[in-house]
Amino acid sequence: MPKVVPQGSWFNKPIFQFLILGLLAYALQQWAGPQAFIAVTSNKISLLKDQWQTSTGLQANPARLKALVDVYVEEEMLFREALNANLHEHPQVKRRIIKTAEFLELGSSGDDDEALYEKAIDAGLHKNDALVRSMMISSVRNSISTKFESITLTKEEINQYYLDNVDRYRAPGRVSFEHVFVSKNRNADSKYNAEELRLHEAFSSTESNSLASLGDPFIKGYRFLGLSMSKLTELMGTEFSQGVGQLNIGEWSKPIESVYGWHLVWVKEINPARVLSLIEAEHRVKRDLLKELKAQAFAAELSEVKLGYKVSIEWPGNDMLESPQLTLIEGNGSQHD
Amino acid sequence: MQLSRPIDFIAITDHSESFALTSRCESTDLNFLERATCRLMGTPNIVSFFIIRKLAVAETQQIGARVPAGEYQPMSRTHPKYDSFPLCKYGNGSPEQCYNGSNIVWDRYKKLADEYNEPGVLTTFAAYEYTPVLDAGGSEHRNVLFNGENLPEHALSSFDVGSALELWRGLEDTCYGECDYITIPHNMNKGWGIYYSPWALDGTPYEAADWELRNKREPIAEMYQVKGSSECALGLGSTDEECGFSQVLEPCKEGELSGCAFKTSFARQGLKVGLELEQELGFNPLKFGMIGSTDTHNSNSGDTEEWDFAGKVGALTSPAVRRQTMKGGDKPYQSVLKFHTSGGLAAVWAEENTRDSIFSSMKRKEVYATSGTRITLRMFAGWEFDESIKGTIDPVSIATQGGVPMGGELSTAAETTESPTFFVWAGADTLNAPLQRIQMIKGWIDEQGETHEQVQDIACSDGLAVDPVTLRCPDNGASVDVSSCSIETEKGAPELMAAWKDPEFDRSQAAFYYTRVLQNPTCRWSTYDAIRLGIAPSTEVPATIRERAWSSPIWVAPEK
Repeated sequence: MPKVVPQGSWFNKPIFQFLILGLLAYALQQWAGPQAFIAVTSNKISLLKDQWQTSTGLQANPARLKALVDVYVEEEMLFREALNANLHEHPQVKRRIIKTAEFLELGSSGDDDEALYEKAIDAGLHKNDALVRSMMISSVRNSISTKFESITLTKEEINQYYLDNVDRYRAPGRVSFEHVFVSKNRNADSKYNAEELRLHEAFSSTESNSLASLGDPFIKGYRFLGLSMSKLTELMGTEFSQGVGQLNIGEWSKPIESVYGWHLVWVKEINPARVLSLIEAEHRVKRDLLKELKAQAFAAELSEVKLGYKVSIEWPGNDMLESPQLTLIEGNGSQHD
Repeated sequence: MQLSRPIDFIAITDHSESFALTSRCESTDLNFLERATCRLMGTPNIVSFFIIRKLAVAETQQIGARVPAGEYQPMSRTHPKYDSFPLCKYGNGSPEQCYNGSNIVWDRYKKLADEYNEPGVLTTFAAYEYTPVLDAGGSEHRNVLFNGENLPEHALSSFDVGSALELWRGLEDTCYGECDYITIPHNMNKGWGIYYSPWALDGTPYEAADWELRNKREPIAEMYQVKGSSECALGLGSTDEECGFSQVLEPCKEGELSGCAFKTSFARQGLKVGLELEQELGFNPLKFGMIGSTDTHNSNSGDTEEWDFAGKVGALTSPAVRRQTMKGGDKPYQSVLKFHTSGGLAAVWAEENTRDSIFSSMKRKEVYATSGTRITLRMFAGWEFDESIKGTIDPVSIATQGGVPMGGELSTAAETTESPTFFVWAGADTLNAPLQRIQMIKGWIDEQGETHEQVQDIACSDGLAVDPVTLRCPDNGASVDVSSCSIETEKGAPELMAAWKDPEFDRSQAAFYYTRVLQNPTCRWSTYDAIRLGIAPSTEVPATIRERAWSSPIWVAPEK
């Protein structure tokens, strides 16, 4: 025979039921973990894909799609943070919500702004309006960024950054040379003429004696000091810079072709690529370090935010009913994966 | 995005008007309207761009009687103030906050320029663009470049000052001592005639002192950029066939005050106006050199090659299929496909790659413009050398010692009877097409005060000679395969040289001379796009273009 709880028993008292329900809710929350849950459904991903195509005219490839999903997830987190901070109660946001509620005729006659706002919140307008969402996300982002405007650098930090990234601070290889030019424009067979000129006794000298006058005038000059190979390529073309790159110091070359003609080249000096000293590179080191520190600080702050969230992503193509494919991304530090 | 070759110097010239707007958007105390505006501005959107642009158009009122078609109609204009925009008008976004906020943004630009300035590697200038907006998409905008120390705390915008005259006065008041600046007229073809008219935008006529200030502070003009060529226009004082290059504006018809080509919108006419003003003022206030620039709004300075053009405001005009189809409006100049070029470059002859050296070159006008190609171009004029200079091993030294370079001025002594020699030397871009010819453009003023111009070829490639009747080189027959964009490298010249005397030189006349160097044709950006898209090149625009370089002028004037 079933037990019957007598009428008027403490078990039927509302306060007891409230406590039980509260305990159950607490247990459920403990089981689920402290994190909020963001589900990116396949429909959402299709929508992001379509939006991308509409705005750019391009199909989103897998890498692009992943980036779009990442941005969505990040914005969703920031939006929820904004909701938690009650930014939807900010007067300007509130005003936007009320205006939207008026447009949607959510109110009844006699409703004042406050009543209309309450109805709009009940209807979830603060969560569904794109502009409100954007305003709230932007506010949260700005408040994070402004924390790091005045980062200062110590000498130790600068030195360490330089040592850690020394390969980034290199001076390119440079070459200094002079040449004698045989113009394609002025010589019917410029290559032949250049080869003939190379036989001139002056070119057997072991010292360069500014022999430019034996050739044709050249618009870019005859002596080049400390040119990087990329600058040389820009000035004379690839064929010429590759040719010069193979020459030895202190001897006249065979004719080397450029866009303009043929050149007999005397390399005076080659400075191989080298690592810049900290003094030489300090300006760039500081600039790069500051940029990196700001980016790191922002990312760290964002990571803190992400720790409060659990994310599932249902990539299209998987059958959600049978085997939901969940991908967990940052913020999954909980034991409840 | 990476340039095929590095550039040596750069000035990022963002609109100073936007400094106020962007700074306010970073505030946390914005009201609804302010946030809505920021939202619109933060998303690349052609509609919001036009809405914001429309708010910036000044109120106008015609001054005096209607002028004939194609001449600038003087107007008085009330320029917009900060509170013309919702962002700087309501609630907490007061005009004062916008003004102060713009200083924060301008400060960032100055710091950015300093951060990336590496003498000998990459020179960067602090700069901005001042942009009073005209109707029909026009502007009387100027780039402002700074050098030195103690730069102004505030970047003047069209919310602060309503005309170029006020801009210069404002700059004189705030940039002095170790601070130096120049202004560069920008995209004159869409200035609806204002640039070389004697009127300021607010309806103030230029006084002699204003011309003096302009002469001092505006040594160069940007005559080629993504929105076309501002060298000259057919039917507007020019019959030179190459004035059709990168043009889509038709000469103005009766009653048209904007959206068409005005005589005083083009550099060549500006140079002629300078000769006229010289007779009136006793000095020529429009002796300016020529540069090109990009204006693509893509943060990709120097990316001017046809083969990888990303579109002007790439966020709106990329991918390629958009550029092929975006009409923009009813007029040809509103069509991306028809109007936009891949942008131009500014070249300077400087002793070294530093701020001081490059800035000095710009001030003395030893600069030239290109349509994006990297042609090397030298030009000198002098009495101390002649045709034989071509046979010397170092003609540049001789020309430097015996003459003046581009941007310079030669005085004609009373006893002079014959023309000075103009020595011009051009080298092809190593990654582009060979050269086809050098042209000399002369403008002069006669005893009656009438200005004239003449164009003639002075050097031809492929052993060809200038036709004595047409004054043109015969076509060298260079062609382009538009299915692959391959070119014939056998036609054309890697370099061209000329030592030319003006057979019609008249020592009593003030004149200017500048050169134009033309390459063999190559594919236009739209043809590269078409190949990538697998479609036929558009028949609405030429499949090929003839890239070019323009020297700054040399002025030859009777000795005073």
